[in-house]
Amino acid sequence: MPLSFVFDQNRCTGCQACQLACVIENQLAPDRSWRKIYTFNERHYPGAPLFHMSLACNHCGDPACMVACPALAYSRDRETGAVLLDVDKCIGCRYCTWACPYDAPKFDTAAGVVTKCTLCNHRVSEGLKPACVDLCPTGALELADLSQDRITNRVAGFTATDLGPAIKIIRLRSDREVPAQATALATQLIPWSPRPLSKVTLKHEWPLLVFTLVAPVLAAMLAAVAFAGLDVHIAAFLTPALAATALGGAHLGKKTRAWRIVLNVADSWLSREIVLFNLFVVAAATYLWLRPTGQWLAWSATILGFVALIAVDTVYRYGVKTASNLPHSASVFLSGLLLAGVMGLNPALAGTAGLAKLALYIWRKIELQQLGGRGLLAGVTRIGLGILVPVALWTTGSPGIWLVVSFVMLGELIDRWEFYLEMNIMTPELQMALDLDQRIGRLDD
Amino acid sequence: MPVFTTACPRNCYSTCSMRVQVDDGRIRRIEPHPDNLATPEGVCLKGLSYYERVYSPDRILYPLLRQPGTDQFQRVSWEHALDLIVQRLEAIREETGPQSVMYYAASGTKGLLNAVGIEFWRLFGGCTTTYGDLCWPAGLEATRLTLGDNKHSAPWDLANANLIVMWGKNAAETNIHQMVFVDQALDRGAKLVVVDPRRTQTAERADLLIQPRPGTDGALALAIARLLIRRDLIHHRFVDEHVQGFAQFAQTVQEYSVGRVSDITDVPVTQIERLAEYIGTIDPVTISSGFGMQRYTNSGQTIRALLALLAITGNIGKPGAGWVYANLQSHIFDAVKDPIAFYPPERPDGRVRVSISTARLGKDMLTTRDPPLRMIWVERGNPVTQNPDTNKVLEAFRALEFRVVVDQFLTDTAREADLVLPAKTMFEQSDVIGAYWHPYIQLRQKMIDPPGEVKPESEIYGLLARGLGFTEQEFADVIPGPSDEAIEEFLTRKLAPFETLSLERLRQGPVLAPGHQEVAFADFRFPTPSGKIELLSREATERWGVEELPTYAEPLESARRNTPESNRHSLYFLTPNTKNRIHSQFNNLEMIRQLGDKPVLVINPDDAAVRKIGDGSLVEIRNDRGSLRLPARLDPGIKRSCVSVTNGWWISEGGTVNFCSLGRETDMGHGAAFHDNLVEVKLVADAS
Repeated sequence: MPLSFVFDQNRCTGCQACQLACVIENQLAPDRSWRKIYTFNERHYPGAPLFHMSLACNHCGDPACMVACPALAYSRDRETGAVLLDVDKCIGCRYCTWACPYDAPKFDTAAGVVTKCTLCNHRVSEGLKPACVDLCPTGALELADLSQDRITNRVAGFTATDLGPAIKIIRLRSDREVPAQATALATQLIPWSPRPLSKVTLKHEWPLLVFTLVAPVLAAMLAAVAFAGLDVHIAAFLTPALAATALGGAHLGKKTRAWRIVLNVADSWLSREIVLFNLFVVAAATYLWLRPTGQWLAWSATILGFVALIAVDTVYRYGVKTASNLPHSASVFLSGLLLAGVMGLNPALAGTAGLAKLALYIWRKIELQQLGGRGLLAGVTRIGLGILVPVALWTTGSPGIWLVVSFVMLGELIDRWEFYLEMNIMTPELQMALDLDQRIGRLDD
Repeated sequence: MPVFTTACPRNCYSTCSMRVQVDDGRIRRIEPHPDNLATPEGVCLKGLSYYERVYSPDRILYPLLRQPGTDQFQRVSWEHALDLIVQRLEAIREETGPQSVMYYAASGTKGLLNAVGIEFWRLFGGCTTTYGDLCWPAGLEATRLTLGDNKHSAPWDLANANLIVMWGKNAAETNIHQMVFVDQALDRGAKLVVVDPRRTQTAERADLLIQPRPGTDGALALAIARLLIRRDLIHHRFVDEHVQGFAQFAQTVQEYSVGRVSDITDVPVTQIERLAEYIGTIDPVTISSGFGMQRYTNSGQTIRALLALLAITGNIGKPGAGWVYANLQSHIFDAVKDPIAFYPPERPDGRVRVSISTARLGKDMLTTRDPPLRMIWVERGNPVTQNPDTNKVLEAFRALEFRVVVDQFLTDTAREADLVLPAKTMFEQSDVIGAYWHPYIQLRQKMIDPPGEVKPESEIYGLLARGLGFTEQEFADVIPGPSDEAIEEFLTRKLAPFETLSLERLRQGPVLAPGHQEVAFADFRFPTPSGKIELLSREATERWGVEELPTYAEPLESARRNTPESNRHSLYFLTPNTKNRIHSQFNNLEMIRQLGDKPVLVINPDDAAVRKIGDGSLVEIRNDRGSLRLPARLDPGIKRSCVSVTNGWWISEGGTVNFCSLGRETDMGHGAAFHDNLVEVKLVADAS
């Protein structure tokens, strides 16, 4: 009997009792409630209604969190359909918090693990309702068996997905879509509400930034060794490889459970990334150590390296994309190709990859309308230092391959940095903001 | 796990019944009690936050003594604290008389044991205390003058209304449980009209939102009355049988043409006509009014004008109709009912001097002579934050020799004290409470022992009485002993006159007040001098000096008065309540604070633009009384020329709105007209 939350927008007054009910029942820190109220049009823009959405976990039929989790910490309760997270298995990688567009899994910094709504399974199994449902003072929340009659319409703030969210949202009555307020404003309305802060911030994710800069260098290094006879000492390869791995591990909330990260190769791109990257490092290191006469190990390692780079790019597929949905110019796969071209002194490869990056970069700048101010400064620096300077150095003499690589990496750093700044994981809060923009016709600032 | 029935005793409409689960002496869960038909679905977020409040690390658990000349408090023993108080009391009584001691109690918690306080001071020899009330007297008095009594139909009767006018009430935040019945009515096809200068959460449900200039609601009502009379949408039989003074009223309202009132109220003619049409053609009509609107200098007359609309359309005494303002049907223990209880006694008894107007607290305290005030005892209140004219209140407090404050937390008022005594919570001593929206009598039940060295007020008074040399026999009648049995005996005695009430019965759940009317005035008995609904009231003139009929006068602080004062300040300062607090309570709790509510000035973008104020700008709100600085929040939902800051913020949290309000009484009832409040807002710094 899979159960669904039923939420009635016509009943909710946004009182937030449901949030606190969750805190009390599940003994959470007051600001760590698994349920949250999101408000549409909090600033009362004329012409748009103000309403609320109360969301916790939607216990999806095809849960993105469970698929993303590399540590197999998620499971489903057969009785109630609840998607449950075993905190004793969670490694605190936070990848599920990227995967869920409903912001249901919440990282608990103090505990180092993610926690989430359990559908109050302990209550439901005793025939009680979840605390949030039980304590809603206006009867806006219910729990029902609605395997067929789930969400049907697109509702502001609720990201439509094919995840099969087990929720039914009773939409605002159509006559409330237009607010009763009549007076018009004399001044032109400039929307003030700032965009919600991104869930992914460089402050927390800088180890990942380092990892994604190092990985393509390593793959390119091996490609240059295998195909262009570049001479690389094993230490020059292993030192950054191990450092990047260590940083990645240190980034986990539960470092002692780091080994669990490879458990979900079947479904999770994060597991795949880690497995592929480690296989690549082992293969590459073995080749650099033994230097066998046959090249098959070098070739295999190179292929593993680039497949790992594809996995890295795929891991980052969550986040708000530009309208054209093109790959990001900071793609590590493209970086790997570019660097391989440079290190292998192959102008064709370097030129193709470099031009692709340049085109994607400029196109994105146009799409994101970052053609002025800081965006322009970053763009000029990125193109100047990361592309023009290397081209100039390379064509005007032989300053040494590593100097060229260093400048390329400076450009890559800026691009990757921007990638993390632009990375905006979908949340109900962000969806609300986007939907409000659409409703009121946001004047872009 | 034991489960206790109890009820929330805050100054709030809902007065929710609760079932509280106690695990190992600690509150574990708070749930609604299904037997209270007004609040069966759930307690509000504040009710849930008791989970934290009782155990908050900020709670005062021991007597605290201020270190002279500092802001620091030091824990002292009860013995020491009581000695200090007794010494002071004895010296003051000896030197200038007991009336140099001021006793100030407010509405922080309901309960019959609250009455012990004044009994103690009587025993002591007397004291000085306040008359009037901050909350609702003008509306109570207007209702009493018109209908004879303050009662209304049971909350659930609202579901039977076909037109609901929420006049100056934002129930979605201040009486959330009422919204259940609003929704039931709306689901049946009823209409909802909200009258409020703000586009409130309640207004999101409305068919019509009317945003009048603050203080002009009376004119709006009189214009509607005139339209109803002109279009003959009057219930003639009802008027003939039950209404006094209709002919004169019909004469008076001729002055209030829609055009003129549209100008006065700044409401479009079409909106006034639409509301008149609704009231005249839809049946039945309930008007549910809030308290904010009757805190103006003209507000008793405003409320009388609103009541007239119901009277002339026959919307009193039948299901789905009526005036939902205050339902005092559960106030069965009061010898004198509100609002009469708020008035200074006609003949002073020589002991308790009832001479300080609550509305003018600071000013009256400072000007009191023969004898002057030297010491204050504050309980269940936070007057520094909540009474008008904070600067004056602070001045009056600081002019005293000795200040004792009983509270659970170091509020702005407690921070002014010399001695702070720890107060109990609702879970630590049993008491019986009524309500003012639903008609239930409820037991607020003791379920845990007070933490630390907390003592209920009744126990503190017993100890003080002993310290002052009274024997147990001398005060046993008025101050119950500290044991649970003594408290229960005290309560049992209070319940004894009522057949249906007993502690045992109340432990099961709420009980309807004896004699309660589900549909108020269904018997058409109006205890007024004429026995009818009085549109024309001689008492109004005799007692308050207002006109016999409801009329409209511009509020004293109006941008249209053209006085030097009103020329300086052009913005109406609204100070509404929020769902997150009851006045100045609850916001110190992490459960509430983390919701992210912060003190901000809400301003219309048009008003902001002419002042170069942007969203997030730091602004100063100022008038001759005082000022406060807050970030601005641009919001097109608020009427132009109005700005608002929710009331109840502590000074330490950003400042109370009462820095700008003036201590002044309403036109009737000795209420506080502190919403009559013009300010100017200036940019201090742009948003960073």
